[in-house]
Amino acid sequence: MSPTDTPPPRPATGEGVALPSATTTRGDEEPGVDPTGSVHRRERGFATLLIVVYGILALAATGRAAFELATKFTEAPLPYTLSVLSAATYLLVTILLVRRGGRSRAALWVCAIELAGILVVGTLSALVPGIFPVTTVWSHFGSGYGFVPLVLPIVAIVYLLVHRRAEVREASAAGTTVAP
Amino acid sequence: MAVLAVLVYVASGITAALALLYVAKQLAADLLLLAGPALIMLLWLLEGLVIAWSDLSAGPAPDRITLYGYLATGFVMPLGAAWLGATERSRWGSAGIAIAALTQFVLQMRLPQIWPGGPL
Repeated sequence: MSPTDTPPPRPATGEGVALPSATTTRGDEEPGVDPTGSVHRRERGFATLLIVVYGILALAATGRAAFELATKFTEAPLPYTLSVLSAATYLLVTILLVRRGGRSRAALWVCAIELAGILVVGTLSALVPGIFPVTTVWSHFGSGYGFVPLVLPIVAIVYLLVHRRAEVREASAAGTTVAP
Repeated sequence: MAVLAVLVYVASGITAALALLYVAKQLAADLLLLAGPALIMLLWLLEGLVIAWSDLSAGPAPDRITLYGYLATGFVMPLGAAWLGATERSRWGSAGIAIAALTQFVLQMRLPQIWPGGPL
């Protein structure tokens, strides 16, 4: 209960955007939690990689979907609708991860929907080829994109679950609860 | 021109290698590493201008929407990676730059396939 029991607050890392020299960090350690329960702004850590890859997929899928919507939608409405859906999920996850980080429950849900989507579309495209006259991002489990669309939501879900569990444990140790 | 393509390959290759070095040494991205995506953006922009010039003056490109969407993607990606590298003060920011640089390499490889027989 005394202040000396809790770890000291983590010093602010860097000011604004100015970064004159390389900063050596000790990996991605968690910042301290002070007795009032507020958590200091923590670095994103591994979530940075998720943001980068989701961002790249969001760029690629949105460009592709916009192109298909603008020109060829009536030719194959189902696959192009899927393109819009996949682009929307990638955009949404990217934004959620940037804004809320690894503790975002919404990101967990969207990643789960995305994983279900690619598994369903991948299976259908393999078993019922005629159902999608043109390929989409999720066709054949994302083989057109190096299977990254398949592996990525799995990695993201694992990370989000582990991170959330760690944060719940940390918050209960500090006597607070985790905001959704 | 092919020169620009080679320069993009070199810039993205060196940036990726440097970024991976930073990741291994647990260094956050500093101005030296951030110069990588900045250089890639500049070279890609020049490439885009050359392609647009060739598109407007010589024969029309076969797939304009895909082409310009691609060029826009290749421009925004290093920008986003640089922003992440600047705000994420850990080796993960450098890792993001590494991934973006490697992807840029692949994008450059794909560019001649989008416009075969084009200026590149």
